Amino acid sequence: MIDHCALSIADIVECMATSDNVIRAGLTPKLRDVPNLVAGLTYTAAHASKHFVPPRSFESSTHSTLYDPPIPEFSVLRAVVPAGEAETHPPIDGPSIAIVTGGNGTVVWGSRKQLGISEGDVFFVGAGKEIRIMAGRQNQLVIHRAFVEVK
Amino acid sequence: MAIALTPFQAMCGFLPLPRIADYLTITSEFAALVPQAIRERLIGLASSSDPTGSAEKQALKDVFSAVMTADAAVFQPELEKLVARYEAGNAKAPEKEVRELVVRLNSQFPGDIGVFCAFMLNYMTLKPGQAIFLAAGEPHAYVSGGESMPDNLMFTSLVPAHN
Repeated sequence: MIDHCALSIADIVECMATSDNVIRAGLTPKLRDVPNLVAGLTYTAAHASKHFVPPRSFESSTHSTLYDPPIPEFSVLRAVVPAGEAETHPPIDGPSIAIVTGGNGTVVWGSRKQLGISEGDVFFVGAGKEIRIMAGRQNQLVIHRAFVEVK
Repeated sequence: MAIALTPFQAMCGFLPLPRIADYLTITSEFAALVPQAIRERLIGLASSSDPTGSAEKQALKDVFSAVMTADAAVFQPELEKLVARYEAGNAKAPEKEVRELVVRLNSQFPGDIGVFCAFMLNYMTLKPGQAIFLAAGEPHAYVSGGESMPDNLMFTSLVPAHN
């Protein structure tokens, strides 16, 4: 299980396991550490296609896709909900952190709790909570939700 | 794992060995950074049926290490020659895939040894919604859309904290 995962946005949403270090060796104004980079790599040569994570459908959801990398630490759900529509995410057996990467709308949970959300907002979803994500009337809502399932 | 929100370019993971062997054979500016014995070992193993065997990995490590630790007095003139050749439009056929990348990397990080990583790492463009995953110990660089932000490109590797 992870206790933290980092999401950052530029042109990408990136999620990485918290136990990772980053070593830089070139193409950066930041500190470089060539000997440790050379020593720490696995030297696995492969076609670029080996690195792709094919998005899959997620349970019964209509507007969400699942990115499930070959590690237990995390997966990411990407929900693209068209304007005026809604999407339900069934309960997940672990905590999630979600970031709104486009549009605005509302996230609803429990009997009548709700939160207005818009681009740039980040929200936490507790383990075992079903949520409903509703897009605003004018625009689609895009959310990336990183989660870990406790096994 | 990185999921593209907009078209997004990245270098990630080592190229298949035959591709690196091709560059070591035809791109003299790149080959000049690697001692002949190390070059020949990788070229000899390039068509191996087990690219992840220990000899193959060692050969790749030796090439990568030689490049990354090359003396500036050696690689700077080679990089200048290489960029000048590509800017003049004199790329050989197998180099066409890396020509633009080399010129672009060098314009963002002039004279940086990391420019030569174009000959060792996969380069790919992700469409929005496409994702890549890098296991610990695999090198990568993000080459994002922006023109000249100094921080939009990093050549890095993730390693486990406790290994």
